Amino acid sequence: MDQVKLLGAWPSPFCYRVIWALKLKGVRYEYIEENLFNKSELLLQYNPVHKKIPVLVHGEKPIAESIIILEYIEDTWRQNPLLPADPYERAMARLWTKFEEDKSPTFFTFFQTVGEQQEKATNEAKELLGIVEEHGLGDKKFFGGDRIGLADIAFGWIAGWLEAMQEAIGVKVLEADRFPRLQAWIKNFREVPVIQENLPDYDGMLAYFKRLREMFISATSHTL
Amino acid sequence: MEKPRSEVVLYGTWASAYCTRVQLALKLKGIAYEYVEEDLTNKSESLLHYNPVHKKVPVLVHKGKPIAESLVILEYIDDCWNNSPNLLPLDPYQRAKVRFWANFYDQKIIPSSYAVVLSKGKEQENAIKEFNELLTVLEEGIEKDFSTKFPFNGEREALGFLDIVVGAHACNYRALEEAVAVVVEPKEHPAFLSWVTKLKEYPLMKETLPPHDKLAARMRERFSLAPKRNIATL
Repeated sequence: MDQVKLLGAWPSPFCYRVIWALKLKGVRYEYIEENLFNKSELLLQYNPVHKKIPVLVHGEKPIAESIIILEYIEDTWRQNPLLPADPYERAMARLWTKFEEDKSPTFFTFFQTVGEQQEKATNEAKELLGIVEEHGLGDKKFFGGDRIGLADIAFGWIAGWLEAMQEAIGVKVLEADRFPRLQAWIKNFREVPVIQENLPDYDGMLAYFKRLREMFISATSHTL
Repeated sequence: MEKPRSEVVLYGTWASAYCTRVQLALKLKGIAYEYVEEDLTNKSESLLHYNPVHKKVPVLVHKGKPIAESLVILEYIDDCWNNSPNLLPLDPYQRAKVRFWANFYDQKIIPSSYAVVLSKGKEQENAIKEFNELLTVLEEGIEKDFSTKFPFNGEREALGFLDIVVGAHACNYRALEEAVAVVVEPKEHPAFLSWVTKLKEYPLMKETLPPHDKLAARMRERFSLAPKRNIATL
């Protein structure tokens, strides 16, 4: 059987997506931690186009881009499917996964900016959460229905990373009295055993986001 | 709400490459469908009903259920009508590589082409330079990943996923050049241009692509007469 390696960098939520998928399917893998400030020859060889993590290497075959990796994992290891069998339900999962990909820059802006720019991003982010809650999640327990699937994994950063991000900045998008269904989803998502056992520790993340936030703020002030 | 339509309905606009993609896929699979031309300055009730989140085309409605986003629609068509020809290859690793380059095209090449048409003078020169650099990445990447120069669908008779995704957009490059500027440097990308030229002659592509003159006129109207525009109005 071909060996599986995952090149990642703590605490990247994109890496955790792949970790969750591999563990949900019971696929054994070797994890290689990358230093993103000093990228290894291996990473540059396996992902010459984007030079980013995560990269999954199956045998000698490298696959980059977390969602594409998830689809590859789904195609290759058929147990515990991440996508439903029905073509329409599959399309809905892919649609919301794509929505997450296309709209996540708003959340980066929310995290990376200050002042008016951040205020605008904060409002946009709240709008997006509303859309996700109403149209994506609806009345379902998970985006995938009764079980977690591709879209839940794609939105997983909301369940594991957003809180620390908010605390690091001192601004909330996921307000306590809003988005009840999304809040319920977060709780349910975190209770799935594979997820529960594979989330970055909160304090470590908070320290990390605080440092990152400092970097962005000082970069901003230098350009003023 | 209008009366119920055929089993498969595509809401689109004639100039949109994203819509052309879906038409190509439906025709390739021999799927009967009804096409509804939308006026994006006056969106129909149906479109707003079927795509309330983005209010965009293309939207495919199959037995009353809507799917949006061209790449998602293509995968849906492949999943649902899994007769040959397959749009995506069957091997998981080949599929991953096709998806990778389809995403690269949409996330890097197409935005770069917008940057060209929405700028002028020196800024446009830089945008053209960047576009050509990205095109080189695409060419080299596809050659490495599929071990074949264009056309990378190899011995296949039918168009593949990447032919559709890239071709629906790239085959219109002459209209863009007439309306705005020469974007693809012929000396830098002979392989890409030769592939696009071949693709344009493919009967299904020929009959599905928007008419050249009409498209060039539309692009001239939108891009060469006025200064920078909001992408949302495209």
